[in-house]
Amino acid sequence: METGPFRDLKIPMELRAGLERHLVHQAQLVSSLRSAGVDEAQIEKSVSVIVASYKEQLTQAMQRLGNVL
Amino acid sequence: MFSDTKLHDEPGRLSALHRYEVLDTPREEAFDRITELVRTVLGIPICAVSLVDADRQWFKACAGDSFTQTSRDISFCTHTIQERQAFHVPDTQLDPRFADNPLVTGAPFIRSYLGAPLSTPDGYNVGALCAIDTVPRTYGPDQIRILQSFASLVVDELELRRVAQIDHLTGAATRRGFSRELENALSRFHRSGHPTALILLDIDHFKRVNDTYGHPVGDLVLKTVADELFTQLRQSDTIGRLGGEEFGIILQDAELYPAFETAERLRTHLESFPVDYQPSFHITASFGVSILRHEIISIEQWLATADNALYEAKRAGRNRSRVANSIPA
Repeated sequence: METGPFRDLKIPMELRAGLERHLVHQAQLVSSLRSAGVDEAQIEKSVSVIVASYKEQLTQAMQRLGNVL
Repeated sequence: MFSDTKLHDEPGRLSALHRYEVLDTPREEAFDRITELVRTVLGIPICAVSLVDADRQWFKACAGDSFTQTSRDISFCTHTIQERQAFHVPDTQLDPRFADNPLVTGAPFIRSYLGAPLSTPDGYNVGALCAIDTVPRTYGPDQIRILQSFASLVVDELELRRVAQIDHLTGAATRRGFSRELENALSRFHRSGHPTALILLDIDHFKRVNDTYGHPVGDLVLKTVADELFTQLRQSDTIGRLGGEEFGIILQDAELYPAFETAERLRTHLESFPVDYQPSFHITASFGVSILRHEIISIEQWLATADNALYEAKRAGRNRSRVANSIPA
């Protein structure tokens, strides 16, 4: 599984489907921003905010799941 | 893509929304960041994550305004969740459905609206990501796609939180998710006297199962127990895995004796149910039961009360149920 900006995390099985969907949605966002003529700096900023935010939550989710599994 | 019967399945839609356990939770930066980005990219004054409950819309995030909720009957997002595509109102004053809407004639003076449904992976529209302007505005297909993409990212964040509250081995709530349900039950009880019981269940000699058969069979036992609890209990009851081989059950509308009867029914069922392994074997479990009383003011106290009863069941020889007699300080 190509996990792009999340490749440094060891993603548990139960979170992978969600992460795969998220990567698709990120790509769709970039494509839609480009089609709308949004400048590259704004696209980069948007993606970095989205990635950082999701990564933070993903790390927390992994910790929570680790408490039980 | 989805069967559109789900667009008209309001009980299913509300269940999908409530599974996220997001209503009335505090603001979170992740959602605020998304609404701020949408505001910047689309150049609009207001963007909100609206979740459409039975009779209200509640905002998880609202950049550019301080709204927390409105009644559902005046909500634009109620229209958005009835569609698979984005819902667009270029000029509210020219649209007879909205011209007299109090959100149009009064604050925040919505003049144009674009909403993208928040669609769960199983196809329910639980709310909308909406772009609001105070001037008329027509969005092009590219801008609509941008909002739809951000809406998908909102659902990703909701899904991440939901998944983290489910124990994926057993399908039961995690300790965290279960604790939240306990808090809800406690609040409901102190507000309305709604009778609720807590049952704690611990599989007897579980370590012996792991030592004898190995951990994969231990996991099979945990899954078997959870599956049987799900088949024996009502949908309104909550099952959580609290750690290791301990499970918790919240029984709605349950007084003490019926709760004890339920524990006994579960106990005898588990005792008689063979674990699907070659050769098959049986397991037993011990149960502690505690109903809510006015003296119980925290979930820690409630859990400790049930845990004491569970300890009594273990001490008395295991494979039995005990009811809490006292409340720990």
